[in-house]
Formats: sequence, structure tokens, C-alpha cells
Amino acid sequence: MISLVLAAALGVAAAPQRPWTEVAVIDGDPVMRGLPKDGIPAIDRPVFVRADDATFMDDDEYVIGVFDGAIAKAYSTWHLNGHEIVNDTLGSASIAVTW
Amino acid sequence: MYARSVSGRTLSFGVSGMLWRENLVMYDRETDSWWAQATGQAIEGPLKGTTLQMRPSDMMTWKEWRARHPRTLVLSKIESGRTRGTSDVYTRYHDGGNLGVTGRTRLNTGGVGAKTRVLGFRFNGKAFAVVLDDLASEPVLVSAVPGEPFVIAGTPDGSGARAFRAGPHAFSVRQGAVLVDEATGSEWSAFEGLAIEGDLAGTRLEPVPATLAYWFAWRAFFPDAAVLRRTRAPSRRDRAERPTSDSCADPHPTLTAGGIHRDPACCASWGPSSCPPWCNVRERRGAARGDR
Repeated sequence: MISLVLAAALGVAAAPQRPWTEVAVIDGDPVMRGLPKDGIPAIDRPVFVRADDATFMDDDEYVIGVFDGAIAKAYSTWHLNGHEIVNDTLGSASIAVTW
Repeated sequence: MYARSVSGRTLSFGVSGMLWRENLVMYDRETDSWWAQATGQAIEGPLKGTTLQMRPSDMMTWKEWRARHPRTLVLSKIESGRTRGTSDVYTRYHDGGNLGVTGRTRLNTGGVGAKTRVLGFRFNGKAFAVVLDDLASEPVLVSAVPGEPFVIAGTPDGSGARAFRAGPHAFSVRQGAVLVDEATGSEWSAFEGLAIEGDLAGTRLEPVPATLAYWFAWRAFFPDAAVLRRTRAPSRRDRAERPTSDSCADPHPTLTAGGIHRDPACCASWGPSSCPPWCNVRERRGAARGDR
């Protein structure tokens, strides 16, 4: 309740475009659903290009980067906004890039 | 960034459409357990209580990353597979003063501006945070946590940072991002966590997996998180009071150059005198991992 009052004071009146529904309470905090499952599609078969060919990237674009000593991979956060998760591999390791 | 292997099984994750503590809830397709993205812990389902192993990763601008890894691969933006749904529900969040999108976020932010960006990491069950802006003028911070010193190093452009365990070394900052250890006088690159000159040349510090997050989001998960700051007199920039909301007037006129503009709300959350580079946006807003 207090957070709702303060939120209103902060101008949060800009309501989300979709309703959020409380679906569970875990450790005292609500789990809120705003989209259907997979409403935002994770990337399961990521395709990569070399840096020199990445003309779609801007210099000041934020990336999540990972390096295992041999292979370096970068994931644009602007792009990840529409996917949130990439199920990927790095060498022999299976990794989840999450945003 | 997590390893997907749990007890010899490889999981794949999807977006559940739910948030918990204003943070992405993932699900795994193998057991349909729910996972909190911020901690990597399963909070519901058959794997409840299991924690994914976090692995070190970086967040910085493409320019910085490519300079460090010229042979890097980069995720193509050509869409493949499903394009169901939309993420519009999030896109306005970064424009405003909202703390989270559900209106349920606790506003106990401990004196640091709620939307201040921090490098958060955990070690031995304790959570820590470093205010990224503290690294803007001096990129290296050697923390004085008793018994467990850390080296925190920012990228030259202030876009990212890394954390390392200092281990047995007593470091002092020589200049810029070069450290010297007291015992041997070897010189270290703080950002690489690597001794580059002297007896210890080639020695590496142990990286600590860390994540960039809004302070309120980090604190929602780790209410006891300690904020590591410099112990000596803070710079004028450090002392500048930062508003915790965007309710104040925007002191940063929107800048347009090459299709890039500054997100005024993002700038405002950083106070009157500076607007960090991650406030530059083009297509989508925001640069805070999973923190909505």
C-alpha cells in the first residue's frame, strides 16, 4: 500500500498498457503476470556474424559480452529487449544470456 | 549470464511473461520450474531451490567490446523463428520515473538514488554494489571490505565495469587503471585483472560474476547489499545529490545526433551535471539487465 501511494506521488500514473495480474506470492512478494508465456520469444537458434560484417551495430550500443579465452561473443541489449533470453553455447558450455 | 547445466542436465529457458520483485521470471522447458533472473534461483516448480551457476560476463558499449575482442562474433539481428507477441509492455518503463512496472516495488532504496546504476555482485553469501558513476572520474576502486578486498574497474568510457577478488594482494592505484601490489611492485591492468609488469607478470585475479542493474532492483533482491565506495574524500561528482525520481525538471535537452538521442528521464536520474552514455538510445530504451 505504501509503495502504491509513493508510486502515485512519483508520477507512476502512467499505467502499464496491459494489466498485471497477481498469480502467486513467493517469499512474501507477488509474482505478477503481464504477458502470456513466450509472449516475448527467447532465441533458441542464435545466428552470429563477424564484427567486421556487423554493420547493423552502433558504436554506443550496449552489448553483453562473454569470452572463454578463445571465443568472444556479443549480444546487443537493444536487440535483447525483444527476446530477453538467448539459449546458446560457448565452446563446450551451454549458456543462457539473460537480459 | 548463467550456465544452463544443472545436475548433468542441460536446460533451455523461455520468458514466462511474469515478473517477481520487478525482475524477469524465466521458466525452463524441461521441468517448467520458475527461475528468478536476478539470482538464477528456481523459486517454484520441481527444481525449486536449485541455483544456476553464474558465469562472468561483461556489459559495455559495442565500441569498447570490439576494441578488446576484434575477432568477436555478434548476434545477428535477423529474426529467426517465432515472432509472437510484443514487448511493448516494457518499452515505456525506461522513459519514466517508474520503479518497476507492476507498481509493487518497495521503495526502500537506502540513500542511493533508486535508478542509479550499480555493478552488483555476490560473494560468500553477501551482496555488494558499486555505483557506476563513482568510476567515471577514477576508473578503479579497491574496496576495503575486511577480509575480502575487491578490485572494481570501469571501462574508459564508463559504460561497464568488472569485479575481481584482490586475493592476497595489497593494491594501490598508481595512475588511471594501473594497480601496483605492495609485495612485489608488479604492475597490473585493473580492468583485465592481469599483472602486466614485474615479478607477477601473467598472474590473473579471480573474476567475480557481476551484473549491471538499477540500485532499486538489486536491493529488492539483496536488501542487505553493501554499497562499496571510496574511503577518501569523494569528488565533487560523487557528492552531487541525485534525485530518486524523474519528477524534477529535465536539465538535459534532448540531443539528436546520427539518430541517437538522450533519454531525458535516464539523464535526470543521474543528477544535474552528468548524463552517462547509456542514456543514449536509438531503437529501444534502457540498459538495465532484466530490471523492469
